Amino acid sequence: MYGWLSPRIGHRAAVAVTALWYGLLLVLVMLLATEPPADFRYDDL
Amino acid sequence: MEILELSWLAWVVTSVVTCWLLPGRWRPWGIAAFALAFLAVTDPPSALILATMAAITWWAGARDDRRHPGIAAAVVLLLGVLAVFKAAASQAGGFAMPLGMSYYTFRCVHYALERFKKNLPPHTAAEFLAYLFFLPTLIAGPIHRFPEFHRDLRRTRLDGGLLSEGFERVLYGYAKILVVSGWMIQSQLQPWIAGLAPSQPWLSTYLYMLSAGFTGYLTFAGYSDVAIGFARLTGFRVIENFNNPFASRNIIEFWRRWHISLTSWVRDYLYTTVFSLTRKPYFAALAAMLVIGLWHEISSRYVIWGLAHGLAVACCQWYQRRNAARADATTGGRGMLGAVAGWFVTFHFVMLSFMLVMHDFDRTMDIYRTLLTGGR
Repeated sequence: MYGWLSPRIGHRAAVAVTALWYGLLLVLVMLLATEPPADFRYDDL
Repeated sequence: MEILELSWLAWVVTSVVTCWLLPGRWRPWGIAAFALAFLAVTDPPSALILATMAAITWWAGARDDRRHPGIAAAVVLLLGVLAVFKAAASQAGGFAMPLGMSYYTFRCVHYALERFKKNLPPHTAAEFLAYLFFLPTLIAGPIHRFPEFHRDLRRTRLDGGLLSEGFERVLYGYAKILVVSGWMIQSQLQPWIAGLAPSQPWLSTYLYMLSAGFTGYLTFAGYSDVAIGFARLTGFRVIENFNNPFASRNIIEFWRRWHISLTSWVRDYLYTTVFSLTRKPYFAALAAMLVIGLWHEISSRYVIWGLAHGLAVACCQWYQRRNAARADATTGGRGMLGAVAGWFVTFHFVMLSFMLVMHDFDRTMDIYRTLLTGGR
């Protein structure tokens, strides 16, 4: 992602955007990893 | 044991760190030892079975005498063992398959055949073991190949770009499984679809079919991303498994984009062999898709699924040949409309076929009936 962003918005901005994006994903993944998995089946319709 | 389990994550992270700390000549031993230790701790019978299969593979590939029946016997034995375990596992109350056996067996067969054909670079027993017992790809694929693995093993050095790519792939893999598939689709979208069911049965069934298909794809693609990501963190570039499969405009293209490591294995070792023996591409396609179905599970629903895809691939081959013959006389393609129609048919055929393997027969028929008649 950084490699794609860097030539478009500059080094510093690319680092900041990439770090924010990774941070957001990491938080979401860690929050949802603790949730019990939903098991939706056709019978639930 | 799944990629989502914290214990697997702990093992693989420790394995990545340890591999980088070891001196180069000890890395193959370190990689193999870590995966074997993981198997021995989490599932000792799996460790024993996979180690035995590794010994058979090494022995079969090492035979120099080309007339020796060892290679054929070993391939039949390896595939036979896989078939027996799959058949036993598909029985009601059957036992669990050894961890990663489906992927592992195909890696063994690839190695034995390529070594017998003298297509492999010179290597040591430790490098062979590291290839088979490579923790990132051990339990959920991809079915990567020995030459690429060996090349990376020999020239691996700490590379910031590779580590960054690896971290990103692992993160995207977990995001696909937990955020998009687990939370967005299963926890949010599907209950909303269920709310539509009483008033709009056709729409809710159709949306359910799409959501279930995307859930299956995102979960499997997420597993592959995590495996590929951890492989990169260890310094290896393993084969990609998916390439936007739902953008395919025909079923042949779909199978070039879906589970690429399996389909390329089947193309190289089964389709090509059957085609060269029979000179019948349609028969070879049918055989290849049937084997892909049985590789997933030995059951009637996967036989039907494999045959349906085999027939679809054969029809697509026939159509392409006919069009190629006509193209000699008339110039120009089908254009945009043909591409959109091809995508529409392929996408819905794939989604409908997913229903067959995700549900028992009665529920699948119920889904098809609702989609055809509009009511439940």
